Amino acid sequence: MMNFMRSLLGLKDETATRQVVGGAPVGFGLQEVEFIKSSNLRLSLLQDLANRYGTTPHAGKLKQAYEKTKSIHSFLVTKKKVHALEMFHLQHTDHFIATFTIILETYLDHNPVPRQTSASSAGQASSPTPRRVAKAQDLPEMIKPLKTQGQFFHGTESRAPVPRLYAPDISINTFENITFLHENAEGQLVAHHVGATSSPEEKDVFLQHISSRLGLAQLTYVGNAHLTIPNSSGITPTGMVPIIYWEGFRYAVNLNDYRLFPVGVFRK
Amino acid sequence: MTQPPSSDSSFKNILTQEQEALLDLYLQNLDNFFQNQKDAAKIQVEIETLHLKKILSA
Repeated sequence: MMNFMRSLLGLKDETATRQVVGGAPVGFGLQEVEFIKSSNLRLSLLQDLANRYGTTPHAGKLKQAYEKTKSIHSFLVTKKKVHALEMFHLQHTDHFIATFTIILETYLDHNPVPRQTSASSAGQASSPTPRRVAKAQDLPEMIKPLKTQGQFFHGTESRAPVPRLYAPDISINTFENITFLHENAEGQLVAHHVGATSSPEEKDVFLQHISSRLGLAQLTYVGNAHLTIPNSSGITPTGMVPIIYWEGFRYAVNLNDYRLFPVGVFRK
Repeated sequence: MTQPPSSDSSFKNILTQEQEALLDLYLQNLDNFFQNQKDAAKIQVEIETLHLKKILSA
């Protein structure tokens, strides 16, 4: 990780030794290693996506896309064409993942499907799911400016500043894991890890954990981000924080007190 | 306004016809890409062989 940072900042001159001539049997350079790492990450994202399409008629084709991408990946790696691998992912896999993630999320926004896997004893869909995000355009604006000017002033002096809330753009860290404690069946606390490259099972444990604390259903795990986040104790620590997606928006979760902070995702 | 009971909603088509066609096209595209890479590798072998032949016969 440190080496990667250095190579980003140009502190380490490794370009001179990285010239691979004509597929000669040389080890992979730093940049190649990074390319292979990010390629592996895309493969796991693609696999996740295929799993999310699991119960639809398209699951087979999504799985095929994953398998084909995987065989191209192994082919290019064995041929040491790491640069071609990166180009391939930039031109194909990235677009594919983006498109089919959006298609699925848009579909889920309009057609909420209850999570069949969660073992919670929620009543069997007796109450209609609340639609928090109103898609209708004709709703009146719900946040209105103050009508009485008097409240703005403290005596005759200056205006009290209005607190400003905003959703900062964050970027997902794909390498770091988060550790959290979750009760197992016997009620004992067990440490689990979750990160962008975690298996679907690990992510599911995390979502069950969050659901059990917040009482929210239909959450999706987005990834981890490096953030400074307020604690209820008044300290604002900086560290890795999980990001979840719920009903159309993303939130950072403070695992100390389970408060949610809305965030946007920084797009390159 | 009320949603119908979601007994079979998880097996519904999520993709439109166009999106499904796009998915097929993508799969085909992957095959083509893979085939091209394999062909390129073969051509590389031929070029190298030819090159060596030339050196030896010179």
